[in-house]
Amino acid sequence: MTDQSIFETVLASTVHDMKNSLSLLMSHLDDISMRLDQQDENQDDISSLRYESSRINISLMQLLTLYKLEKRQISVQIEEVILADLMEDSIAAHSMLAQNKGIQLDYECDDELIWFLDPNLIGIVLNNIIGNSIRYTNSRVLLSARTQDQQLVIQIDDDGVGYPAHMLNEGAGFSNPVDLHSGSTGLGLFFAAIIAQNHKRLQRQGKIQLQNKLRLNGGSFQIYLP
Amino acid sequence: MFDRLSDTRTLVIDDFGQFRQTFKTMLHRLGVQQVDQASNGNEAVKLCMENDYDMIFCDYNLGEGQDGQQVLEELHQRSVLQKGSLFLMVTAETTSAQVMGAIEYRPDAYLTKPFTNEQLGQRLKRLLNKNDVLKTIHDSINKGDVTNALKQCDAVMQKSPTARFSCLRLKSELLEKQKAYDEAMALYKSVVQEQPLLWAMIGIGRLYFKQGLVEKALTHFQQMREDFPQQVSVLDWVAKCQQALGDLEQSEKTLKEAIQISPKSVTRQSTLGEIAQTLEHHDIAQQAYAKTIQEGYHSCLLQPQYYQHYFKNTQAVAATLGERDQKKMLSTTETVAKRMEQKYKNNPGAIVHNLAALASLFNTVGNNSQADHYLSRVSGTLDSPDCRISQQDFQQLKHQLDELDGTALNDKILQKISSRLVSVKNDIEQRQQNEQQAVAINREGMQFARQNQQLEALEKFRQAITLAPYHSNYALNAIQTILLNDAFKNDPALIREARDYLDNISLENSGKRWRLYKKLTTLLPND
Repeated sequence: MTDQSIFETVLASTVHDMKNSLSLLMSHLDDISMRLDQQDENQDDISSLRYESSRINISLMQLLTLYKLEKRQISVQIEEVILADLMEDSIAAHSMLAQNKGIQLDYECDDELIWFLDPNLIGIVLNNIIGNSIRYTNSRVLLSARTQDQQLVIQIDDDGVGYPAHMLNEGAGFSNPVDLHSGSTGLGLFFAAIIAQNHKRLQRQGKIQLQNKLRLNGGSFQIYLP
Repeated sequence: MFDRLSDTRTLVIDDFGQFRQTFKTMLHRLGVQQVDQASNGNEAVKLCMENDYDMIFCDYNLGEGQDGQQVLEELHQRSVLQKGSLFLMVTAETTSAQVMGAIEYRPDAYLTKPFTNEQLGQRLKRLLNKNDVLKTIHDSINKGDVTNALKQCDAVMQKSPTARFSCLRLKSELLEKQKAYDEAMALYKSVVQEQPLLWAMIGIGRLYFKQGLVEKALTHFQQMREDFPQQVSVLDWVAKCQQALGDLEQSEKTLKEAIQISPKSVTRQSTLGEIAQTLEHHDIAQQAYAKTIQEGYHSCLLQPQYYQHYFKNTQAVAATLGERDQKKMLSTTETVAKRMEQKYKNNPGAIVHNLAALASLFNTVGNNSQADHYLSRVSGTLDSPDCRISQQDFQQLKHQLDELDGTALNDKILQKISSRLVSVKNDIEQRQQNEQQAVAINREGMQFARQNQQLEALEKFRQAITLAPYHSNYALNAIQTILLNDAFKNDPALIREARDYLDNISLENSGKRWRLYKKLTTLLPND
């Protein structure tokens, strides 16, 4: 066995273990939360526990996915996806958190909108962005999907203070996953950009874009998929 | 949470008790009332044969014993999964589909851990809704009515645009099964023109292959590798085409790549073994068969001759090794041999070849006492009172023993086996005669039954049972005759007779007949 394959075996089984633990952890949190009164003062703590464990999970997935993409162990798997389903899934992952923080989380899209994309990878992208938006928004996070110029656009808007100026200027790259000044690792956006770029069709490539003061007058994240 | 879930019957398969419990709680919260549990593949298969589940949740990683994919394979082999019931594989990774993609069977969906209650509910709601939309198609397929199923595909597509691609997929697969290759090909191609979806792309290549256009199929799959680089089912197809074209060297190479991505498939490993053996790459074959029997020990896809191939290739490899390495390899082999005997303890036909192969192996490396040991085990197995082996097994064993004749082995044992084989041969001939008779008599019985002459029918089935007691068909016919007739079913003696038949039926390898058996069991009055 080479060193590399030892690392890979350990990586896979470690992730497996960690996910089992996270599953139980998250399920216990749901249990406790349900046992408590909705107004109980501990709900806030539970909510942040839930948020942090979901962040660990997402980071884990991003790390593993990037590793495997780079090693060419996986590739983007295009499937037919009903956008309403994808949005409902992403919302379901965060509804408890949003509810506890008193944030309205909803989506808008045509029931019959279908697109071709990798639902697992795009799912990780959306979950990460939604998680962050819930953290920084005031009162609402809105997902939407539409087609524009033969591309699919999925957009996540909030009514918070918006993305900092230096992030808006990143262009399509988001090439720097670590920003030591802001303390944010930026892994989520870096990951989103990579996944978007890996969606290719008819000589076009996906991309992401950040803007401010669009639909909800806060930050706005958009991912374009050809 | 959502009504559709409340009357679904579900089964949760996980080796981890705490996880099963958690899952059960989640399902209860979603309104599912009926949740059965299994902690391993054996329990799961048994439960699935006894119950019709709407949803089966199976963790991929089940610890000792079968893994999730093997459970799925066995359920398919036994035909206990209806079209429209959902098999959901629970995994820790999002990439399972491409890695585990076995050629044969895929789950309806992968659920990636961890998930919240709401996520699970959302997912199930969607899967069940989709199933409801496709229900008329599934029902026709389950009834075997392909014409109507095809009609339903068109009707559903008209009504529900979001189900269009699911319908197109079902439709093209149905056409393909009916051997309407041109129509199926046109359909796959029209889908690919819209979007290069994996199932349609594979469909095109598979149809080339089925129509004998193997080179075209190979080119197609080779091109697919660029767009789907890690999709193991594409690699499997490339290897299959190369093998069919006689390019075994390339096929071996491709299979080795596929195995790097997905090492656990019994079929893939044994195919590599077979090809490497033909190429006389005994070391590769030996390793491939070692993996086959190791990964497949609990799998229904494992065949007894894989052991024989393993021993044969070990024989070739061991002869080339130094003393220390040879000793190590032989000790591993003996461990494998013990497991083999354990696994096939009720299948003497399988054991005798493998034991003979072991005798040959130890004879080659000059360990004659161990070779004699395995030979006497052959002899012992043949002597056991309920040893029943087939014509084919007999021929093969005879061939193996002929090869051993004249070597330094104990002549006395060989002679004993030969004389035993003469009576085995007689047994086989007698049994074949009996079986032919039983088939004819059973047919007469069926005729009587159709003419409503139940007493005559029952008598015929009894005769068939006497001639071939190990065939459950005749016993099932007799039981059915007794239980479904008002004149018989209140007669205590006949009920006792039916119960005796039922108790003696062994349906280990039966799937479809199991349902009949089950039905009959419930009809039998209690003492």
